Amino acid sequence: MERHFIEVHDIGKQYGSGETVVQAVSFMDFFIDDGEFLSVMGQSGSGKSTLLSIIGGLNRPTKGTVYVDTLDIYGLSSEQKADFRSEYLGIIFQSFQLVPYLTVLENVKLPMAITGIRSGDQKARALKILERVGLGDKVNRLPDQLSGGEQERVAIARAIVNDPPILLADEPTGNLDSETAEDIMGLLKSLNEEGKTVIMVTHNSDMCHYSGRTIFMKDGRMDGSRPSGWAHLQQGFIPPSAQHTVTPSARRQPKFSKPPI
Amino acid sequence: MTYDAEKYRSKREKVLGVRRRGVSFGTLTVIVSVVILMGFGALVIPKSVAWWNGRHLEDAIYRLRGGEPWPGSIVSELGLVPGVRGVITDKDGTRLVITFDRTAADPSRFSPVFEKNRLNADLLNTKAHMNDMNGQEG
Ligand SMILES: Nc1ncnc2c1ncn2[C@@H]1O[C@H](COP(=O)(O)OP(=O)(O)OP(=O)(O)O)[C@@H](O)[C@H]1O
Ligand SMILES: [Mg+2]
Repeated sequence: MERHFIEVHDIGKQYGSGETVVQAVSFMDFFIDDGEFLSVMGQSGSGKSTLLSIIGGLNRPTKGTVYVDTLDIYGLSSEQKADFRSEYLGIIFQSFQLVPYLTVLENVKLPMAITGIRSGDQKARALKILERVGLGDKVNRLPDQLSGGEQERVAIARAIVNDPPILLADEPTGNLDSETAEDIMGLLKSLNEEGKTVIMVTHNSDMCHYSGRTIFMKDGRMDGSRPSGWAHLQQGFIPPSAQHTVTPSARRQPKFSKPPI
Repeated sequence: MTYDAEKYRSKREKVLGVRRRGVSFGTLTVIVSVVILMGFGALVIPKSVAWWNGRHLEDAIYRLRGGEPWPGSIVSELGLVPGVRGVITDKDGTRLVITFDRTAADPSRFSPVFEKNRLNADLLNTKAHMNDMNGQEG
């Protein structure tokens, strides 16, 4: 069987038990290739964050398996899983999750604490990354002395400082104005162009056109997937579940031979 | 892009533990904790024992009215008073410190000894003996 960089095999996730069980994700089955920029879209509660955390090895699915670089990530010991996260993943959360009493520089150095890099090198590397995200002149500020967009950049710098091949971003532009959001998306796009695989959760269709492919979720299930260019052409994508509202002109849009899923 | 199993081989091997690393993070954590606990114990336990043993002790500090040095004989004589645990004079001999068990003696027991030796001793201060132990261990 042909292998893929990230393979999601028929995963399901239930929260709770008995009367209160929530089926957050079900029947998700797809691949992500190395170097892809994938968007995951869907309404609030559709299971996007759950899916992302499962792909990141942070949330054990109740069903199915996830392979990253052929590693069965939920088959790893907890020590191996910790190594997996620090080797492969950079994670940007829905809220920025910066440590408020550490400076920008210290926040970015945090992920290196467990990798065994010498502290002098840690500093040099953190400074270089901060320069890269455009914060070279603000390294000694505290997070609350920064704008939202700048805080987001710190979060991105922290996510990439260990040079992981995969970036997981949950609503990275969720609480930013549209101009700042475009800025941040440009940064993620350029990281993707440098070779990182980016998986981004969003419920803003404007953000999808930065990605190569968008998958749609509804009630925890895949509700179609399209190359993102197509979604962008639609200017406000109409997911397959609502396609009775698609206009005839929309149907004449170019068909992509075969979506990568 | 097709999957390239070689591209991240070193990362994969690190995760799988194929490449041996010095000490695991878990082991390191245990070692560091043990060292910290032992160090903490070495500092705290002797102090606690000393404090427990010395908690009844008190120091009475005397000076001769004229400021002259204490005669050496007084030290051994005071040492015979019941409840006295130690008697020292300071460097130039003008201060006399009697360490005693406050449950068994008090400064009124020392006055007759001074009188017998015709010494005009002024009691400058009494204080818990343990205060001294912080800086100079006993
Ligand atoms: N820890 C949890 N315990 C119980 N239910 C949960 C938990 N986390 C999520 N859920 C439920 O699972 C479903 C999917 O949640 P999830 O956070 O994945 O949605 P989402 O698509 O990311 O939503 P949003 O856009 O609001 O962030 C929701 O019904 C949610 O209430
Ligand atoms: Mg979410």
